[in-house]
Amino acid sequence: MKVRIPVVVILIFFFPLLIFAQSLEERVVEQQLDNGIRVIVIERHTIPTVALNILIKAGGIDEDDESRGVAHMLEHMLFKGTKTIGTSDYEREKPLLERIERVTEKLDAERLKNEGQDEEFIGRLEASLTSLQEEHRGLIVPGQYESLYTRHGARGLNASTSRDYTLYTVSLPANKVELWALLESDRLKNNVLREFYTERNAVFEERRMRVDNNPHGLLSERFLQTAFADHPYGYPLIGSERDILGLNVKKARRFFEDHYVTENIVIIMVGDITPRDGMAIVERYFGSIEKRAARTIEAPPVSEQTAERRVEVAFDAEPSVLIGYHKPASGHEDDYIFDMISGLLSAGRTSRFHKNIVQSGIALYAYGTGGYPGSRGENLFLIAAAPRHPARAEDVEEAVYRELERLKNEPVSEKELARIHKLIETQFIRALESNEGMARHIAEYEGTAGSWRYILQWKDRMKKISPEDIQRVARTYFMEENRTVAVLVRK
Amino acid sequence: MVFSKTAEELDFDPLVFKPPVPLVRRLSTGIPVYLLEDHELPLFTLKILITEGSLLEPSDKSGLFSITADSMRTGGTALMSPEEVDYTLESMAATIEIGFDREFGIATLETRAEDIEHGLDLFMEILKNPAFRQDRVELIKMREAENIRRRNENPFNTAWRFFTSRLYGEHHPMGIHPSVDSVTSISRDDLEWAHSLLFNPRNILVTASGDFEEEGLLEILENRFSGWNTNHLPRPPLPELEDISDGITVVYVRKELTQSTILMGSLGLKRTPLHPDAFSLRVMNEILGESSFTSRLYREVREKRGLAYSVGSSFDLTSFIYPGTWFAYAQTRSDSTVATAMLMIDTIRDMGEQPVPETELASVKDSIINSFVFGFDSRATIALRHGLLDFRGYPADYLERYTERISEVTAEEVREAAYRYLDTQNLLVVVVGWDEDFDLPLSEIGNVIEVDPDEAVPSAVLP
Repeated sequence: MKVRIPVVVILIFFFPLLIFAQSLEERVVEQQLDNGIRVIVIERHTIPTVALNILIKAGGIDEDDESRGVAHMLEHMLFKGTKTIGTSDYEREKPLLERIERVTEKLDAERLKNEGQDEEFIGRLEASLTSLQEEHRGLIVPGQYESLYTRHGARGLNASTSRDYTLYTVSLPANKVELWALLESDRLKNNVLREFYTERNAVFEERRMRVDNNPHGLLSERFLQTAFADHPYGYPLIGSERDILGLNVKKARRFFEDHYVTENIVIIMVGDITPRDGMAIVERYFGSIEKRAARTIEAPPVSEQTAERRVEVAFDAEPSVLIGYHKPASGHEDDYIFDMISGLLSAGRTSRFHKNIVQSGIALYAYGTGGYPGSRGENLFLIAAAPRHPARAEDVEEAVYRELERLKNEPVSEKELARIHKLIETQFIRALESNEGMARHIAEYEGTAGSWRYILQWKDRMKKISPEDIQRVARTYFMEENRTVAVLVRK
Repeated sequence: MVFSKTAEELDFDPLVFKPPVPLVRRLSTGIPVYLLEDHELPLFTLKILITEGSLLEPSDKSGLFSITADSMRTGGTALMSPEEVDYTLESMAATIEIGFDREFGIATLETRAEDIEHGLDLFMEILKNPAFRQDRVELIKMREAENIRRRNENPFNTAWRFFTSRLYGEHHPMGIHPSVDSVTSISRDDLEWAHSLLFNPRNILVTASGDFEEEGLLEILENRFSGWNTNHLPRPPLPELEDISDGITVVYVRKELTQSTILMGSLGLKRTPLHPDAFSLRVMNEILGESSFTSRLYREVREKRGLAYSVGSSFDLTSFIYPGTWFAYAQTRSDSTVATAMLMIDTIRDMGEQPVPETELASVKDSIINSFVFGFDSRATIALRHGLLDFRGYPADYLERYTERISEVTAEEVREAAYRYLDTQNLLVVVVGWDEDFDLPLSEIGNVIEVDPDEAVPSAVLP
């Protein structure tokens, strides 16, 4: 149940090996059910396990102003069971859940008032809620969904919400795939969002852990708010404290109905399973899910930035810096060039940032990566760095801009291009060494670029990148007016 | 199509699983070698296990071994400058990394299959003849110092540091942590001493997996590892450990936060391969707080009450030289700090008082047994594990019989192990947070000692 709140030190290079990409194409078996659900199977016999991913092509970018944080909250709630799992008597439970909903609606409304909160009223409602929740607990079987999985040897049972998509993962011994099909199809058809308000408290704690008490999380949040004035990429994925307080079962259910529809679902199976068996079991359990249209709202375009934006965040921590330049969404022809630039700047110890900024003693770390905080929409090329005392944040900024100027003015040598290319290719194969890694990468491409075949297109495009391309992209995007900078300063 | 089966009614075929076993040989120099072929991808991984770790660091040079390791990798060799090493490796898209734990170290070489010999040449040069070029070593020391300046940015790390230094003693090898002084005082002599102590043929074993032929690789390894003569340095003596447990002590680490980090526990098990408590403790911790969703701590603290997002427990079963620790943790808002700590203590105490119900026990044992297959998802891990198990003196059939031993654990054994090891009367509780906002005074839990998280990090300018 992880929120993918961007942690700046995570870098993912998605670059295929020439030879491997060809065989990948041969190994992927893809089909679509009548109801629109797509299924991707890759057979591998390293060990008798299967990595099973369910991708929902909806995430933070699909939220509206009244429901920020709902994609992540819903992801948490989908672990609470169904009409048959997690309950001893759903018929008796249902009216209780409705009463709990009504009490919390009043409670939240009161708490959300900016002034004039009636403390006595709140007290009575809280008492009422507590007693209803106690009664409710008598009817549930807590953790049944998870324990069904773990008892059968599941590993990696988890989910993550990003701005572009939501991903549900689990790995099982190869003889237990039917359990997954049963549980997951039941979850999609018959989920019950029980214990919402207790889980919401856990989400408050998650926010406290990842953002309010975490200098990097706090910095990222303010940075994104500043870079994306009125676009969903600028909203906290987990929601602000107020946003979370505004979440309720109704909103979660509506997000589910609008977005967890068959045309948005991709099932990915990697491991010890034949495509025929995989397709058969998916058809059997998921084929009857009713087709429904997605209700998507078009995200507003990212409003053009015409001058540098800067923001400072104070915290009891050492300085660090986030720098972002607006860039196009995944699929645009320049996106590939940004991948190469990311490699040139920060892949390995021979990269520019490492040699000239880290090894020179100015920075503790410095990385550059595109697709931040997502890539379905226009996004940022992000540079994250921290000064090494006694250097200061300004020194790091200066050093970074110096490297970006070099990219504009000095053509990269063919030798350097070839070396970086090879490096990031190999990092990609290594990431594919496990079933989980492979499933994860397929999901990432499906969720952001719309198809895993993007990997193959990429192969061709990368071969054609010239030193002139890199200069052109650097000159077009690494402009001061296109730049947002957030600096963490010591309180 | 309607399916009428419930999850409990599903029938499963038995899992057929025979884990691959590495070829085991000894080089003429006596070095054990573990090889596992894997032709799916054109890659090669070599992991060398160094059978000593940072417990041997002098107490005024804490951090020496990781700095030595980083300096070996980035400081050049007798034949090549650091720049040449970096370029050569990255032109091959190969990596070499070295790291140390308390009891052992691992040096890893990863290359493409076509570059095995070239990669190995460079790897052996780094292991045998590091140059420790001055500027690179200084860089590493300064970076370590910077990391030390930043270490309180993660309250969990802060809690862990105070937990171990209090339990073992702040100068004891298990409780000591690098400081700016210990790191910046490291000299070239120190690096050379550490290198000679750790990297010699008596101290290592070799594991390899990937796209190679066993006989061919054996020959190459024989060739590369022969004639490696080093000084024989005496192993530094290790100090005794005093058990200083005395009631419930609360170490309060003052930091202005809206969420407290609670870490509680004590000394646990000193492992021997077939220690009679190892299996019941494994099952016990799985029930208490190891598994994210189905454990008791998760259930009581998060699921029932929403008091934390991050909560669980850990029981170290792999410390062989000194007893490892066990601990439970949670991160909760300031005004539920003491209530949460007390709830955790109650949940832990219950493990030692009430035997777990049979259904819960069976479910947990099943989960350990049925997920056992996942331990074999990487050939590199399989080869390394075999080497480590042999080095530690585990019987040859240990892995084969693991699930059988788990299945034999009883509820009474679990209760009894919890009772003996999870002593809630003699407990160390570390709380990182801001007590002005706490629900109750920490003295409700035990005897309070207050510490300043930055006391070991001077705010003056570093060299």
